[in-house]
Amino acid sequence: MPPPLLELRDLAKSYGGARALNGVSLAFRTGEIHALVGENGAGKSTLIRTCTGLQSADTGELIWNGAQLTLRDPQHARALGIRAVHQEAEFFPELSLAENLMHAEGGNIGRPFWINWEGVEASARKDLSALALDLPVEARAASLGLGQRMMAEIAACVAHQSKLLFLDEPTASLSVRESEELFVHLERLRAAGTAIVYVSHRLDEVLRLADHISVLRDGKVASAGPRRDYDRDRIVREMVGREVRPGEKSSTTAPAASTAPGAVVFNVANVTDPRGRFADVSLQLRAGEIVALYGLVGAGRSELAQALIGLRPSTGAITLLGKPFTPAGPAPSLRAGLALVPEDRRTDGIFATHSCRENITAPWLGSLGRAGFFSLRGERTRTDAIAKKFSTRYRDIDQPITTLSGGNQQKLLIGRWLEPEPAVLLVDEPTRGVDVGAKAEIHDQLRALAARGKAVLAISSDLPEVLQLGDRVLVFREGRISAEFTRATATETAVVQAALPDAVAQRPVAATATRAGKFSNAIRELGTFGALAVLVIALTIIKGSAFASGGNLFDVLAAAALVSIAAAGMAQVIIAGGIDISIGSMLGLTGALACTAATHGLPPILALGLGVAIGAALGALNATIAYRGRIHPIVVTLAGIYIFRGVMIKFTGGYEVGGFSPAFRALAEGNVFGMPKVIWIALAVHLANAWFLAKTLPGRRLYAVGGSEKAARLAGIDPARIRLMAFAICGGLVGLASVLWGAYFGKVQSNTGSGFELSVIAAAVIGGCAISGGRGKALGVVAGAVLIQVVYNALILLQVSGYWQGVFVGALILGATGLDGWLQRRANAEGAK
Amino acid sequence: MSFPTFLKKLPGRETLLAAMVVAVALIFGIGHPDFLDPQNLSDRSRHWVEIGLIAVPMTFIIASGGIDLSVGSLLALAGIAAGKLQLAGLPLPAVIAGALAVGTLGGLFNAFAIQAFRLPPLVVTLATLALFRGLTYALTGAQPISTWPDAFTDWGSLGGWQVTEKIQVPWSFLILLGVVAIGTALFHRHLLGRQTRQLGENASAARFAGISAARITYAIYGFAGLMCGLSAIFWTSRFATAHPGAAQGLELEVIAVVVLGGTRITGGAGSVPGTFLGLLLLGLLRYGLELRGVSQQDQTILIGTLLIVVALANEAWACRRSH
Repeated sequence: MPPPLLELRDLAKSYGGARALNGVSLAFRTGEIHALVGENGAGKSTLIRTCTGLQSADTGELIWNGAQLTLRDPQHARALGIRAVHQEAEFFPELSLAENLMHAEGGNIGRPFWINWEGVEASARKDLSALALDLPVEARAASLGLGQRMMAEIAACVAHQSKLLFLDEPTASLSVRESEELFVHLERLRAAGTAIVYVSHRLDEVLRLADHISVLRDGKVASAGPRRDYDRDRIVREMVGREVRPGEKSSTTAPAASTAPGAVVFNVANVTDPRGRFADVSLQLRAGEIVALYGLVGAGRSELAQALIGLRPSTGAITLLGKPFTPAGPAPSLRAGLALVPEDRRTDGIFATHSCRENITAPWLGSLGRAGFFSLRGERTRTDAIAKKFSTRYRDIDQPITTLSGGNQQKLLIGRWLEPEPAVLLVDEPTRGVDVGAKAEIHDQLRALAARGKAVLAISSDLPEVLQLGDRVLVFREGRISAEFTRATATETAVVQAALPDAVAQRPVAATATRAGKFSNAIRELGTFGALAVLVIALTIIKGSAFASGGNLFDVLAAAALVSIAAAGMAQVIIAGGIDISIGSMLGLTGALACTAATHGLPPILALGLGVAIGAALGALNATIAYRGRIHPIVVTLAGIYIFRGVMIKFTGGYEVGGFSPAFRALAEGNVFGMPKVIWIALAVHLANAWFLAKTLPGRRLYAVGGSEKAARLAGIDPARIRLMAFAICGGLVGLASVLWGAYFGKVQSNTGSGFELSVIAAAVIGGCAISGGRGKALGVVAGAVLIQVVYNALILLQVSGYWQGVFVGALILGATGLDGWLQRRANAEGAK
Repeated sequence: MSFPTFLKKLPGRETLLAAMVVAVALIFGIGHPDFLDPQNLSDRSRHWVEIGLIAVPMTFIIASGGIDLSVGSLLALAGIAAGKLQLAGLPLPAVIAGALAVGTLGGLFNAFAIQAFRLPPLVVTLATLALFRGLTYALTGAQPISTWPDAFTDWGSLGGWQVTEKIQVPWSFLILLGVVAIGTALFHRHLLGRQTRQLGENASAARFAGISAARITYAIYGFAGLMCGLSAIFWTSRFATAHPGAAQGLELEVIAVVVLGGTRITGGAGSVPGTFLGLLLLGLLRYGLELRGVSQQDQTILIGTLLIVVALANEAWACRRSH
């Protein structure tokens, strides 16, 4: 037996009061696949997080190659050759595949600060070649399938010669073919001496791959030993800690048959998705039967279910209880007697911080009272009864639903849709992520429902579940029903055979965007510039030299300069997923402080530096309170509006700061090479900003953090630190603008900068920064700021009252963001085809 | 008693807020006889009404995961609309109806832009903040409308329910109490409030549960618009003028009140009584500080700090609760 590469000694970890790990000791050896199995909440994910530096254990130690190891962070683990591919397959949707891999690698490909993009793409291609993957590395990650991204991530781990590789449910999002390819690679890696820790619910895979099996239960190692000591039954027994009832132990044992099916209650004829995810689906459900719909992940099953209740458009004919039925959404469907329990509990099912009671009544609360008013007592009685009927384990119907285990949450979610019982229930993955005990209880409830004469369509990619549950089994393959089995004819091999895609007719990779999609994206990239160009040309034609003279154009640009300098900083904050609405007051405060220093004899250039420093400090203060104190930045910077303005007026006593020396005024006044100085300064800021955002690692990390905070954390990027940087840079630029403001206008008043934040945010948003984070371009912001000023100028030249300014800026924001959103949806729809 | 059960026995956030309101009243009241003077308090409460009226629907909006920055501008626009109608010689009820209608339409426009273009509320209402304000200036040429009948201006600045000879509750404050009561019922005992919170907690789960985001969006932004219209009437009556620059920055005060009241800025949780207590807390604090001769800027700094402290406390509270 090889020596242990990593040894875990008595690891313990608690969250709040809950013990996730409770004295775990394990050894992972080179050249061995070590399978880790256990129910949800058994501690597997915590164990991986502890071994990869994402968190530290409370007690216990890690022994790496015989020496004690304290992991500082994921980068440290990565440097040692410890890597993990996490179950969630988190990624940065707006960034290219190559850049995704770069961030996952800690971003140290080539040079530490400047990014060599050719190198990044070449390295990504090299990574992919480790698993012989042929994926476009320059494509946006969002345009790739989940399985493709997962394989790319695994490929990166393989390519970087990891010594110890953790794979958490790697096949959950892979097709059968991809899984098979993965297994071949894993076996090759094992032969090459890599230690692999394989976490999976899929016991067939575990039994096939593993050399060593450890079963976790309640944060402890329940059982561990070589593969030969285990079979399926023993693993299940150790996981559950008790004997499992015969009915659920093995897929070959048929459960008691349901009552004989009755009349057809739900008839679906030739239902087709206009976007091509499924076509010509026809199926019938009879009263009193459970029909299982088996299909691989991504085969279009969930899309079909959503179309049937009207959450997606579809064509075709449906009858429900003998009447024609037009899907029009969950609420009308429920009234007609049709309900859907969605696939993904966390994102589509629960209201996480709300009580069990509120979670249960969500679809039908209105029916409890009159004119929308309801009584809490009535709601409690009703929901208590539902929870009890499902033998849910809970203390209080008012406790938050996330304090329940996944299985109990799922029971409540199914219970939600059985009040009143619909004639037809569609359940998408009824027991995903649910422990064995709860699974049996949910199956019993579904059978009981059928026994009461209801029809159930259970969609599942869990083969044993399909065989146990289905009176009939339908198989879904690539958007079509490919086979139908009765309970007698449904065998594991037959069902899987029918579900496997044909070897030749593989679905095309969606990565290559269509021409229309590319066109939409191009307009999105250039939209602000385009609008600016059109406006400038139109004004030149209409107004000639009144507009297109050097003097007028410089006036316009000079007016845009100060706003655009601050907007460059705001763009960084917004890209990183934050917002700072205090910058108007900040401008006033830094301006007052730095300009006062200048009037007391501080040299102008040092006053400029002082302004930048104070602004950066204030921005950093905002970010620190927001992200260390975990308060939304809007609240913090709302308070900042009050505090900074108050401090400023306290400092100035309400008097204006002015009477500057000519040397100070010369910071912003006057021309260089015939162009006003403020324009030169703004130009320099924007070039630096563009370079920073496009070419440097910290700049790219702003996009990463704003695109997906979770993925950033997994890559070892600290979102709070990146945002601190963005807020500080933004503050520094506001400070710069404030001193220039003083020099340009000759004074700083009590109300200087009030409302400035709105112009700045408007410039950033019009320039293409997505307020939700992760997207924006430095030069777009310049175009946004200039566009606003050109519009103002146009109003003056066309002799429209200046009072209309606000109306046009408002319309500009709505128009720019509305158009951008429309183009994005268009591009995504094209990409999905 | 284990730690979590102990926490459950702690008084609710509203009780704590109420205690803070009482504490502020006592601290300032004991040292300063004028503080609890009925006439002073009555006058003072008129100042709170405009913020309070809008803070009620803002509680819904923030709980839904949205925000409305345009309320100050919309108040001004509705005021100007009332002024124009009044200048045109329409009777007072028609003028009031006009202000309410313009406010509501403005709110519905926000909802329309959010829904139809699927834009973030922050962006939409930032745009309409500029747009509505621009309209008020463009329609008036920046000239305030100051010819109002005395009956109208007295009603807002002097009128009220004479409880005793000395104690008077302004009409506007009574209406605020009514709106708070209705808002409380709607938020905590009606489908609208429940679905608003569910939308704010998890929009996708709300969609799967058959909750219509569009209906809620129209309802709550329309409600906010209606309250802007109502506030515009009180504002105009109190100042005896409809000013295009009215209520500039009001949105910040309103949001501050709602956050002080314990509504979660990211949506999913909130409280209308909490908002009302937040209004009283902010109002009494300002009033007390003013009586003590604390400067405007020191008040501003204190209130900003209070906002952060309360937000930190809320966060700590939520963290401990969830364990």
